[in-house]
Amino acid sequence: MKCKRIRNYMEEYLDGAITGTEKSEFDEHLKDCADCKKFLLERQCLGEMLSGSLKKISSNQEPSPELLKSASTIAGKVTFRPPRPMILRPKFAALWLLPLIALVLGIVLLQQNHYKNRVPYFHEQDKVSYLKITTTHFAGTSSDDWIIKRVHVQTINGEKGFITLELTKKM
Amino acid sequence: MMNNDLQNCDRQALNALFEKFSGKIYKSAIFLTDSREEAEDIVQETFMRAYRYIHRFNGRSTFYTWLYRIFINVTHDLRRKKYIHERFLSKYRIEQRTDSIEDPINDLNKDTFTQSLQDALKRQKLRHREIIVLRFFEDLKLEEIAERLNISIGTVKSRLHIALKKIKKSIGNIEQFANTND
Repeated sequence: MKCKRIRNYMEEYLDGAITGTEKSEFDEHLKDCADCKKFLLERQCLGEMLSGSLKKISSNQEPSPELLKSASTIAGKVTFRPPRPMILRPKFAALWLLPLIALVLGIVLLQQNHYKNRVPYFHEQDKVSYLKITTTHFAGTSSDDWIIKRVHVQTINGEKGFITLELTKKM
Repeated sequence: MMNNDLQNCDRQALNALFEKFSGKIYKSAIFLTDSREEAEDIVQETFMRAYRYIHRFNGRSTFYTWLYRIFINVTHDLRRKKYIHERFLSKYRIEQRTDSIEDPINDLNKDTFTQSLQDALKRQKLRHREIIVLRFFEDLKLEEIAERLNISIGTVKSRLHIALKKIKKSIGNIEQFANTND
């Protein structure tokens, strides 16, 4: 086992987390390698001294009586915040928020791909008027871009009315 | 049972909770702050937040682990505020009024190593101090530290390695302490 690996897993070794054949390899290496043995001993020594000193420092440290008395004051000051309804929590909000955003975006995009315009026509009796639909009726568009989706004819008095063309943009 | 009482906002249960854990949190706070006053502020703020958000405790960890995470967050928040405040003061060259509060942490009659360690700890970044406290004061294993701080074991090892390296550098040759303190 290489020294680098030993040092990388030294903390786990000290925790007793290295077991079985791996531990045997560790122990074997530590017997034979003076550098790694020294590293382990120094680490153990430092650890014990740190532990002892920290406990010594804290042994004289107790909270003040005022702090201990403040428990009921703290409890009295706190306003408990009720948990948010499940549907509003971030984890679950995505379940309904994302489809909603997709729906709104879809409607907006669909609207952009539709075009409606009413064009007046005049029909004389026994005469047929042909209404020439030109691109000027659809400002800013080209007829090549559009497919006629629906034609609606609205007659007001049999003679005149409106033709409504509903167009869909070519994909 | 205690958790149900807490969830039902039983104030007596909250007081019992404070009594049980405030000492432990305070002792950890002593190592992560510069004064007793700051440590007490941290303890109070920790418990206030714990009471306020008690409904978020879901039992996946022990209660103390959950409380300790709040404590760590509070410590970082207060540190940040203190840093901003001090920067403001130094920017406008305002003399900070300091009350003559004795800091008992530094008044102990300590051996040389303990004093050197104390000084070395103060110079460490907060996240390294946390690891030292959990490893050598609370005697936690790597896995337990990772759970307590909600970080990976790799991060724990990395921070521990850096912290020990800096302490060794600060205090010098540890053999001198081992010999004199026997």
